[in-house]
Amino acid sequence: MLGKLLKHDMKALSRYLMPLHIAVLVLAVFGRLFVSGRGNWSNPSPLLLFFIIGFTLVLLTIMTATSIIVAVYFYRNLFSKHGYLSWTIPASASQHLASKTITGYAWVIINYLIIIGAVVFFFAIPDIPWNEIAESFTEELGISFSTFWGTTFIIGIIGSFCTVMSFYIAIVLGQLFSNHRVLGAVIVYFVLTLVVQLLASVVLFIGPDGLSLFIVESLTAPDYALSWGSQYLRLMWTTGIVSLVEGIVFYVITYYIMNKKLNLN
Amino acid sequence: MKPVLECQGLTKQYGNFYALSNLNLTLDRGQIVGLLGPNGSGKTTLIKLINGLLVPTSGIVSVNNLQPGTETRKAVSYLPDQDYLDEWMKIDDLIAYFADFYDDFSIERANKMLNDLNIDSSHRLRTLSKGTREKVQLILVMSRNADLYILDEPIAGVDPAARDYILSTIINNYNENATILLSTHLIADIENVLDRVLFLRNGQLVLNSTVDEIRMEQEKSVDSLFREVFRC
Amino acid sequence: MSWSLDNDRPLYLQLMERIQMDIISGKYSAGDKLPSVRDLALAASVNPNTMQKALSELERSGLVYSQRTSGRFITENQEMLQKLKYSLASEHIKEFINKMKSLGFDEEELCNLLNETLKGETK
Repeated sequence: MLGKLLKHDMKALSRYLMPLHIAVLVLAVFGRLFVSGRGNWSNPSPLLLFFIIGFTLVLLTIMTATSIIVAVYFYRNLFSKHGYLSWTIPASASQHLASKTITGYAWVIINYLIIIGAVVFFFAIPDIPWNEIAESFTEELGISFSTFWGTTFIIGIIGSFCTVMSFYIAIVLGQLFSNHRVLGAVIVYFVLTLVVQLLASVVLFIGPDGLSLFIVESLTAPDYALSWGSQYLRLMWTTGIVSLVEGIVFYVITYYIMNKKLNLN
Repeated sequence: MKPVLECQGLTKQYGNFYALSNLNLTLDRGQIVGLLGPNGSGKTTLIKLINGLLVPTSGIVSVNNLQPGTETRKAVSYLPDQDYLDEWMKIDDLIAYFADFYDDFSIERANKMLNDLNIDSSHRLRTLSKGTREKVQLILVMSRNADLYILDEPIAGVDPAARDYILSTIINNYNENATILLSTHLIADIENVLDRVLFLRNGQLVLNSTVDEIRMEQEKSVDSLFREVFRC
Repeated sequence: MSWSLDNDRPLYLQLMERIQMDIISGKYSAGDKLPSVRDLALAASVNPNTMQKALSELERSGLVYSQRTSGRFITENQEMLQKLKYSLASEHIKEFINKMKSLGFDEEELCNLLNETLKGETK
């Protein structure tokens, strides 16, 4: 049953997301071939800058679009009139949630990878002195260029799980209202994100490896350059773990609500 | 054989409003049952409760002695009274979907019925007229071998010829192990097809009787009795 | 095309009458096989249970008999068929006579009217 759900959910999401992402890839290839590959990087032309700005906008748009499409699909498939079909096939709430989580998360990751791939592809040209950049980076921050980006990348992947779950939990919490369920979901989402951000900031600031401690240390200790980089790593990993736990908590709550409290309009 | 549907003290409350109140009902197999009542009488609420789309406030509803859940969904074939399928899907896609998720779905039966009505199964739902779409939805539901079929207003808003076809489909798919529960307010049209009728008023079951009993004891049609009972 | 059925009388009685009429009028001959319950129900647009009840009653009366797996057949008992024909006819006649009486005809007037009308029809 789960396999069947996965198949249908993936097919439905891909219907919208596949063409968008292929378009982005095509644009990236175009950009590499005609813009970045041929551009004058020491004296950039307006066209080059224009393309970079435009491309950035496109990538931001597709990132937002992916999130929206994943969230809307979750809502439509389970809580709009289409819910009459979804909730009458012999699949349990946990199977529905598992399928939506796996497929939603998969596409968010694909989106993430394609965006990063597009950016890297665009900028990985011999004209730009990457080695020099990497060296001065390491000097300033105390950790290697690749460690920095590698960690950021991995934490991004872990954090995406929480992103997806925060949509889902907002939607099911919105379902607990008897009216204006969509509006409720949107409000819950923003409130939830805000509250969680605040809590996370507090933890990050005054927690064990917190930022406040770091600031005090760096002002008093002589060897601060090394600490910036490793502090960043510490921050990243803490954030990663926090968001993973968040995601799991959201998943459990979402499952509980879907299982016990379904009241379809 | 055990009854296909049982409700005991079934109640659904919204704030101060009782959509269903203390409903007691047992339905045996092999019947075509009419669930009759004016709008807002609780028909759709009862149907949603049976399908597990709503959770009771109190009381029990069970299908084949099971609470609504994955197992009962295998035994119940439900036709909602609104468009609920993805409009961009082709009829063939829908047949594949139903066949995928329901072991008791008969692709041959579905195709035969589509053929009978000259409906091209490669069309997408949104290109079809409303009447054709409703026929397709009915065909999908009736192509299953379920224990309980629940049809919510299957003939409202449908032309008389389509209505005849729908009633014929219901008669045709009748089998003595299954029960068909038809919710409607167009009683005169379907009276002849019903074995038993249930009258719902303000969330309560006010009548549970066979059609013959009504005609013999009250010497009037179900339609007439309905008008009497629900006179405004 | 569904049989014309009244909503305020039990269906199975009306179905029995209709099948009896079909037999007498020659639609079904003695010994013929009746269509299946489902086909008859479809033709009449009624619940198969109701049709089943009608057929069971007809079986009880002997007009129809069933052979396990082969289905239901009209009786070959000509005497019974004749009796049925005459009993249906006499019911119609009684009804007719009552109606005519309520229109004010007496028996002699009625016979004359009947004869004249019949002669008129054969011309």
